[in-house]
Amino acid sequence: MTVGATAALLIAAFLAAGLGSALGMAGGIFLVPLLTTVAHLSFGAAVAISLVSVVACSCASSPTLLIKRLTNIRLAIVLEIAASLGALVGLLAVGAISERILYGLFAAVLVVSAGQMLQTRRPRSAPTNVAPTSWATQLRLRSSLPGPQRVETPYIVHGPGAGLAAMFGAGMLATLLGIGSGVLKIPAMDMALRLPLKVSSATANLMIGITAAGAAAAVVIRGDLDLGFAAPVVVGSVLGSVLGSKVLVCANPAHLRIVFFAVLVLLAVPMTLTATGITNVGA
Amino acid sequence: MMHSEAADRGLASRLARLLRFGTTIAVTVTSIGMLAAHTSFTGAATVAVVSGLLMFALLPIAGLLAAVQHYVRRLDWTYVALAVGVLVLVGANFLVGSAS
Repeated sequence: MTVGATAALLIAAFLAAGLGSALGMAGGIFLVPLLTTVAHLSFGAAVAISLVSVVACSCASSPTLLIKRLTNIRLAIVLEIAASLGALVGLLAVGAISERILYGLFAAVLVVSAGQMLQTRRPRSAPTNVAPTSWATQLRLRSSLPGPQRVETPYIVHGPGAGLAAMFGAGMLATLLGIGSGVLKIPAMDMALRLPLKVSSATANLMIGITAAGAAAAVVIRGDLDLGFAAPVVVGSVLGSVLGSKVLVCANPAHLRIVFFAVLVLLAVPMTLTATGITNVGA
Repeated sequence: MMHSEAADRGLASRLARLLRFGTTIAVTVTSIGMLAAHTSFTGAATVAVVSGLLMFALLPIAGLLAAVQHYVRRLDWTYVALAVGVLVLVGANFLVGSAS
């Protein structure tokens, strides 16, 4: 691979992870379409690279969120049981699913993500008198996050059962499509568990790395990872997730969402065309 | 027993240090391998890139082990069992992924 191609991959991964981290995603949702449509890698090769990149992004961006006390570690461990189980089912199923169906599934995820970009989320209000389920109470999932002027904002966790079901699906998608599944995890925590958005994003961020870790270690050990592509993509993703989000904080969120919507829809087109057999973007 | 939330702050700091340190080492090793591969592609460059990428994949597992140790110290057996359960599932993911 030429130096120019490596630099192009590095920059593309930097932008994908930087843009993704601005909205709480790991960037895998951009990487797989880019690697298949632009670099013409096979879907499996792109997924393998993206899995390692997703873990790296999670490791790079989690420390800041942990120190800010936005991550609910106990909730992450509880939900990770379902997500890791889903990832395992995804790995077992991936061989039985045709590549065209996977392209179609990816296109659907892109369209759902694009739809989410147009939705505005209202900040979660303080805990109401609604009693948390006994599960959430016994597992001591309630916590608080630091608010303005050092005032703690307490929150409770609702409906962990619905959250577990969503995490199972998110875990499956993670290993089938090589994405962090933040697109499923964050709304599930927001709607089913009724968590504050910052807690949802931070907790999902930590979980994304754990969900993909086993599969990522396997693709590295197995030796069929294209290192020429993987190294610049992973290094670019890490730099993007750390630095890109800080740069993008200055940007107008409404404008960002419009740009994201356009990019996601644009990426969904070749994935849909491949799924329907009209074109073939991968190797 | 200290309140769970307050006790978890210690774990959060420890995980943050572990992930930050590990990420720095892993990205440095991967970058060195990537740069070396373009000057003279040798076995050493490949070893560096694979080692760096593997470090990334192993970091969340190291974090889970730190969580298990934390909850064992606190005699919080519910979370010891849950964290060990996640570790077992991640291990199963690795085994199935390696075989496929």
